[in-house]
Amino acid sequence: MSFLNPLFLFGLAAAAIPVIIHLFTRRRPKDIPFPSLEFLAEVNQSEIRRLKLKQWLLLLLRALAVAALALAMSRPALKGSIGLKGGAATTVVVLVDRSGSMSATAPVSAGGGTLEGIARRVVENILATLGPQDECLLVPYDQAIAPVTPRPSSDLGRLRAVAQGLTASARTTDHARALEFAVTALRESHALNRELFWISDFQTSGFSTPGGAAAAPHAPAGPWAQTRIYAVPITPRSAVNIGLTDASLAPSERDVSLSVTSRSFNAPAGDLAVEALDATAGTSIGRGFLNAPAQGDASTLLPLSRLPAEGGVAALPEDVLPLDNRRFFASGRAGTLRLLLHEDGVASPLRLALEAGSPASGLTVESVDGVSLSAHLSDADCIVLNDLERISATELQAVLDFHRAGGGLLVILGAHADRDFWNTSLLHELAAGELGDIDQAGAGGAWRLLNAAAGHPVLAGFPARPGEPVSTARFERVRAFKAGASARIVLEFDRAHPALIELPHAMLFCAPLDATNSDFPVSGAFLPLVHQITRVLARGTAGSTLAPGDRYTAPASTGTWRIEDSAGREVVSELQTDRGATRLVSSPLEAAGIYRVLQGGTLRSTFAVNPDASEFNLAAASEREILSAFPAGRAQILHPGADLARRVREARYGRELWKWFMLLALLLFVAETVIGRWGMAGRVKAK
Amino acid sequence: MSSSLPRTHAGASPARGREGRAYLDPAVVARLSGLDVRARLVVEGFISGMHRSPFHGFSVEFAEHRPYMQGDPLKNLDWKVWARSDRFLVKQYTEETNLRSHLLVDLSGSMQFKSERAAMSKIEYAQSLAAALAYLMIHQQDAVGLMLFADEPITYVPPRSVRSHMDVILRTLGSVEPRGRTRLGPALHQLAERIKRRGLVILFSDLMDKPEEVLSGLQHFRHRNHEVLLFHILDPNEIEFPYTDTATFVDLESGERLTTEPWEIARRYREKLEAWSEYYRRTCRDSRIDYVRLDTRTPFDRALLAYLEKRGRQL
Repeated sequence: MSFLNPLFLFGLAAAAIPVIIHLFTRRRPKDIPFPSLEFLAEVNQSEIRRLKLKQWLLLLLRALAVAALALAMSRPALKGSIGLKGGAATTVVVLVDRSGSMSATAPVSAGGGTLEGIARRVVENILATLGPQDECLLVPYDQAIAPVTPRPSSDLGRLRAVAQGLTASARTTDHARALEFAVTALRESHALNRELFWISDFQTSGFSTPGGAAAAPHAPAGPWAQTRIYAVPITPRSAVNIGLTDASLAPSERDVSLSVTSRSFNAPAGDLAVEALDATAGTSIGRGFLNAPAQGDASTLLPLSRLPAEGGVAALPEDVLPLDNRRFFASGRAGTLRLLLHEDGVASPLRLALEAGSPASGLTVESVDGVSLSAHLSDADCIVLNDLERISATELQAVLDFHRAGGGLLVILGAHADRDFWNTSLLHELAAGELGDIDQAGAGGAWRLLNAAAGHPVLAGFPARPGEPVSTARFERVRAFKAGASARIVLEFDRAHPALIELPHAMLFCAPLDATNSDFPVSGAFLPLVHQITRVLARGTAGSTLAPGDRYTAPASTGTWRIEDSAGREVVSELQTDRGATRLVSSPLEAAGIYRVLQGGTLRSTFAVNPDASEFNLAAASEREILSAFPAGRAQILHPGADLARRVREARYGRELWKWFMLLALLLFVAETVIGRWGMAGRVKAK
Repeated sequence: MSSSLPRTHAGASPARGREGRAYLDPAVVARLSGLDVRARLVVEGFISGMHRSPFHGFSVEFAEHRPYMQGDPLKNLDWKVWARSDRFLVKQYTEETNLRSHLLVDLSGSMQFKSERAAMSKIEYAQSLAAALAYLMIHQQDAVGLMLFADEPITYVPPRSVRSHMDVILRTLGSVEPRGRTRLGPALHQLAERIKRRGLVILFSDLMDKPEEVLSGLQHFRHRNHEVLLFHILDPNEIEFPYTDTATFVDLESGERLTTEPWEIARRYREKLEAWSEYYRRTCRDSRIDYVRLDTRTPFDRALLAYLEKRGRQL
């Protein structure tokens, strides 16, 4: 038994009031002369015991009624385990999943709307259970955690306001990170009662390991023995879903096309209409069909009637998750990365590779020589120096200035590179290391291009693990290179021969990229690798699109820069100087759409932000799997509903009994009245 | 016999009759001072209300004629007068008595009880009633005696029928106050032994004594061939017991005190009182004693009627 208003227990002392009244306020009876006491004495003798019994019974009833009233006011609750602890502060940590999947539509039986709406109501219900002495840490999370307050707060008004404004983001889910944060908060709590509410759709993809492998729900070690854990699963209308995982411009026989890829999750197989729209004008620029399987990916190529000026969007018919039914792509001049290629001689395989598919590839390549280099730098995202023997001092200075301004730099150190010149000039300035001679593979031997940096964006899409070749290409001649301390080796031929060396906004490739020294230029890995290298250098990511939560970064000279989202709202950004290079860096981008980067009011570039495909799989962990994430018996499932607050209160404080005590008090008062008036009929009549 | 009941009746106007009826109410009588006035007004009030009294014609001594009225028995028609004067006159007779009545008035302490709801105490009621009866009896030529008693006989006035005896009766009645404890039994036995000649014994008492002893005393009268009329006088509060708040009751005779919750025991008390009263009524009936229970609000005519009924049976 616990009491929610224990102060009212002092009211129990009021039970003594009837006794006190009885003892101290008895009036002296009036003397009444009477002819004879014979009958009175006889009757009184027989009635006196009943009278006394009745008087004591009345006294007892009055005292009990007052006590019951006091108990009712103190709000007793029946729960054996917590005793009077119920009156102490409770620390409640509420993890609210606000990842992209929470924007899925909810079943009609749950009131319709979206999962985020249900989550909002659940949070409000939980907050309604808290008293002024309780504290709450509200933690919306997706792939990142965003606690409303740094530590548990009793400011329920503020928490309610935030809860009412909770909306789903477009980001992926990271349950593990949220649980880690909850553990920390619960450990730091000094409250006797600690509770964790975990409100989520419990999407299985949110439990994946960093490598992307599926994993069962698992909670880190924490003070679970002292914590009451409630998992509140919110299920979407259906787990059947089809989402667009890619929409990117692709070269085709007819000008330009849009490559669209969808992914099905237990969906009925069949043709699915897909439409391409101009993101700015909203007009249709292409239509087609996706032959979507029940499970897995399907791609199609949509011929576009024209190339959108700034960007477009591929759209599917609406389904359970609207988030993945639209895929944005940047296009036009502003939507492509501008590369300056400086090389000698005829067009190299590198140039051909970089120009392939342009502008649909997102890259535009401009060949420059030593004279024109400086003139084009202001509009470039990246400079590619392809196996130059040496460059003039003017060119060198222009390149260094460009790099310091945040521009990307790719230097191919092939057979023609003058070792001494590069070691004393550019490589020295970049503190990249020391270039060696060109080495020849042994007879019949060749080097393979090996993965040396797991998860590097340059290698996105390459299945090779570290130490494994990313390509079957064979290199017969490569340059020796001794990497500097700040350099990072992304690809290598062997320990003594790094292949791709990463520096801040710069990369060095230490082998000739021509057909005479290797078959790499004709291998399948060549084109995507060089494209991704230039994209990473120019934008920081190899993908054609950014994901929610990513930051936009680009070379930026000084000036007024502004980043706008699709609705024209400014995205917070700043110019950051990193090791001599100045770059424009945005705050994390939240919404999917086409973003515009303006310099002094002039559009400099556009880029697309699209949700990660891992968020499209709405398959959820089962309740048993969720419960098994915690020590046995510690967690319980709490389904959203109108009586959620009552169930939480009952679980926290026990079943409230004040109504029963109030009823008892009423019954006692009625009994007291009835018994007290027993025999009063004659009295009233006589009056 | 100059003042007879029929004369009084015949001379009463309707207005006077209504006024006279008021004197049957104890509340009105209580405002009158002097037993003689009370007695006279009560009796006159009683008589004025008696239309076509069934008690006319008890006497054998002719008193006067009166015109025949429709409904008069033809046997009372004076045929001789009719023959002489051709007028229908009815003969009326003056009563003649040989009745000796004894008024026994209980003067025990309990008789002085008067509640706020009653106009007079039990003893005042008994005195008024006894005086009225004495007045009535003497005016009917009956001999009236008086005995006042408490735990023992206090005063005894032998019965006489002369009008001057009324003064003695009234003086005796008004000269004493209630005192002592009730011991009806021995007093009645003593009186029964003292009254030799057969007559009518009328007892005024609240009977606050052991019923067996009281009834034994009354049966003693019956044994000596007396007719007995018992007026059991109680106060309304004694009967209804309307008390509410906790009270200490003080016995008027013994001074004994009892604190109780009246409304808790009222029902049982009333049951017990009724049983006690019923016991008297039943036993009296078995002994051919007329039992009349009165409370001090009961109009006097009820008691007077009871007396006249009794007297009628006597004659």
